[in-house]
Amino acid sequence: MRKDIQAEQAVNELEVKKRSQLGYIWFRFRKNKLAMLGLLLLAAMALVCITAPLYLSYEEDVVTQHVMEKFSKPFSAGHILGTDRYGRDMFARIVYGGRISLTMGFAIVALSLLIGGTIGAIAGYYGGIVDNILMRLMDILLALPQILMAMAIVAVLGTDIKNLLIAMTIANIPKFARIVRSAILQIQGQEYIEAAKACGTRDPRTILRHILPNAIGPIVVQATLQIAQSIISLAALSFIGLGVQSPQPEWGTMLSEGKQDMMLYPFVVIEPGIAIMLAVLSFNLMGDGLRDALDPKLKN
Amino acid sequence: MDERNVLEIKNLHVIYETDQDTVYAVNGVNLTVKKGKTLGLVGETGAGKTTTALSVMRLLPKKIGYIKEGEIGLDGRNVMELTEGDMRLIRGDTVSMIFQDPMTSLNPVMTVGKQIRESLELHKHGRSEKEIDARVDEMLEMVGIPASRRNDFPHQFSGGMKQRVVIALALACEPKLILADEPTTALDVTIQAQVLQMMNELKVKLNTAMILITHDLGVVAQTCDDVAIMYAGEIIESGTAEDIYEGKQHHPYTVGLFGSIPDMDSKAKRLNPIPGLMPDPTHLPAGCPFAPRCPRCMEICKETKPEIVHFGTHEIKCHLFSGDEKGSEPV
Amino acid sequence: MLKFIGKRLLTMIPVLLGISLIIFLIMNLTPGDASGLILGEGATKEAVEELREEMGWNDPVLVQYGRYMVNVLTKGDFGTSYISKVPVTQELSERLPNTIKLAVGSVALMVLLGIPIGILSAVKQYSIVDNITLLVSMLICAMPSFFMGLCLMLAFSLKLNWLPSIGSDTWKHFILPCITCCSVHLAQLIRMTRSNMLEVIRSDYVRTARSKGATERRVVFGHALRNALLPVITVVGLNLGAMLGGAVITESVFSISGVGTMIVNGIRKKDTPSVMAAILLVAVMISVVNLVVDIIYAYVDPRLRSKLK
Repeated sequence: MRKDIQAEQAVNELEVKKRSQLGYIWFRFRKNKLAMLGLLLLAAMALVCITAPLYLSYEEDVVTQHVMEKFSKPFSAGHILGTDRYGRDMFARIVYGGRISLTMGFAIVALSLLIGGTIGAIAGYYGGIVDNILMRLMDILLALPQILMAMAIVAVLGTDIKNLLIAMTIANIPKFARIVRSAILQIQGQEYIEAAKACGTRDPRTILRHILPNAIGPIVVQATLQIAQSIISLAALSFIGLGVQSPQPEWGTMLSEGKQDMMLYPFVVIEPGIAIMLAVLSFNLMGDGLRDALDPKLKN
Repeated sequence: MDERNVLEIKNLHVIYETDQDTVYAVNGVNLTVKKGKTLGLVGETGAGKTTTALSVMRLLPKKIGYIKEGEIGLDGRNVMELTEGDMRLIRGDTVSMIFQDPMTSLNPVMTVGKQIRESLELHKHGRSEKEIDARVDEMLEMVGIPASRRNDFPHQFSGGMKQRVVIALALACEPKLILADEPTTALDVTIQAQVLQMMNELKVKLNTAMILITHDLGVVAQTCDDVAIMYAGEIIESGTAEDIYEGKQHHPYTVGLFGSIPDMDSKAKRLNPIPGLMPDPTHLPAGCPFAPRCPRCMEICKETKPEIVHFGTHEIKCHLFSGDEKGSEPV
Repeated sequence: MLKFIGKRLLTMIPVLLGISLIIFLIMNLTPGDASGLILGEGATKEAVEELREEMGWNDPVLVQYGRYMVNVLTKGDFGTSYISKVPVTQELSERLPNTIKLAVGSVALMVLLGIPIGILSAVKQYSIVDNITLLVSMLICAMPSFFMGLCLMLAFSLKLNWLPSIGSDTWKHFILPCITCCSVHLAQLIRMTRSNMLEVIRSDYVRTARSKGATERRVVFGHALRNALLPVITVVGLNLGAMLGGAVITESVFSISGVGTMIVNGIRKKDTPSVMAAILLVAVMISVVNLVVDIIYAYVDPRLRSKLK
């Protein structure tokens, strides 16, 4: 009995250390200038996008066409970034496009992490036949490039935002299932798990308390990078017409609309493109920064 | 440089510079290795033994390790004055090194024969291709590996055999000095004995001098002619094997080292480690580095660095003996 | 070794079957069908019903799937495209070369540029070359391929007029598309090669080589390179799949008539036979490439080679 309590106390001490470990990771992240740049960039974009309804009107600025004003140059009256072929304000469209991209990015990754992660966790923890079946299923989903898989699903469900979310989530599930599974397998082999099991902790408790906190690091890194990927994929789908439809201002849709005019008015294409780059860059920088902060030995 | 010595290190200071700190790894080391003799370099992990060896070969990690001061005389030449090109001619030929971990010291995608061959190709000395091939086989046989295995890959050998390959490639060009950095630490005890014996025999056969870096006093007793004990980057005691093992006076650290060896015959229930830890190499204490842990520490030890006291070949760097010299003058 | 290949081929089969089933279900469980395509917009209800009966679209989905698979496996008949009215296999064989040219060109570009630059960056770590390489790589990774394609088109084709912008007639037509398609993967390959080289250069066996008196050149090319590149082989292989997906997008940007555009158009217009065949083809290509990459890797790494003997 006494040994049980001692072991519990030892585990608790480890947990206390873990909390300050979090602080330590944040400290290392803070030191990384590029990572902080990414964070600031994201914060700035998020701020602009979230507050958009306060200073922009969706109907007026984004959707309504003002044919008389079409192709106004950037910095012209009332339009910082100019207008597109239908006279719609580019700045407003890009900001609202940001709302779409950022929310979709987060949502897609959150959902696929939840679902894929659970699948991977179950497969990794229980092993054997369960593992085999689940991973074969994932293999089938992975045999097609993500884009094609998403396209096929969108074909069924239609190009409504909700359906896009479902399609891209499904396409992302196998990736997270694999990552979580391999993280769990790696940690399972380690000795402190055996120690916990020897103390008699029950199964779900073992997963939650001991395995997850250690596995979370690489998973968070991947999730951050996947948000960037999802933003790009969404834009790609919209670009070829299988994503967000006009007149909604998704960045990819804007690019495909602008393609025909780009020779004379390149800004119509360059502005949304740069918007995508900034968003993706910020997540990539943060993801890399997190990776370095979690294990400085990997820094090269 | 004295004719009888193959290596003379004088006042060597080596530092490692990282973004945050400077590590004072080697602080004023003097070492001499006589031709054909073995010097045992003993000390705890972090004492600076490997750094000293790497300095001799000028293989310190680039941009991090620097030799700040000192002279290294190797086979009549001043290592500090040589160009990198000259050093490359010396490495593997005049002096070679055997590293600690055989598992990672060999290139996993190159056959062992080719790796031994490489030493010979880099220092041809007029040998023909055929002669080189013959020599590769000769080296393999010399370390107890059948020459037919020359085209096998490192992962096909056990740990002990891998280390033998490493020894073979270190000896291929018959160097005048071998730096063996804990060559048997990573091996099983039984294999340890075999490998050490083999190294001894080869050493005698080729008349090579050797620095054997180790933390194992037993190994030193079996194989070394001279011994130097290192602590926190300094040599705190040195002499012949007799001096160290049978001498009457010793540095308190040495006493602690010997005292910490578990004794099969005693009925003690606890081991006798030396209490405390080696000082932080980024913040070394003024005065004697062992002072914080020394059971015989005096006031002067904390403030002033001790001078080296000579008892014939036996040298001790400790304030306890400053007045006790027999007929020699302090340096 | 043969056992290894055989095993892998065997596992490929259920995966391909699985994909074919999933895609077929996806295409056929959707509301609406291609009757509008075939009969034209103004077709009467009766005509549509007749068509549905004739095409077997009223049968249960799995029956339709079974029929399809039988046709495929026994006669090699993948059906006829509803859009072009031409047998799918024929259309594929016309379009496939373009996609292959694009894919092969992209891979070649990626490997020929990526590996040397990665090595250079590693060997000259922290130098200006290294920093610029890293910066540019990072920017490229943040750029969606189609945006890069549009920018390249804008710069080199429309403004400077050096290269053609659309179509696929000459090899020149493929320069911009290949650059576009491989750019992200090129950037990733550079980073990976660089980091592998850096790691390998710090390894113990490199230290051993130096202690023998090896020159830096010998160390890099004789020892470090092969070890650093081994994992790269697998990564290149994996990236090929993603690159084929990216080829779909690139084909759209540059209006290249390839397998990718076939899929996109087919999905939009519910041309099931085209989509099925094209996607299956892509899946098969990816699986085969993965298998080849695994074999190459097993052959090149002596540790695996002995395990498999």
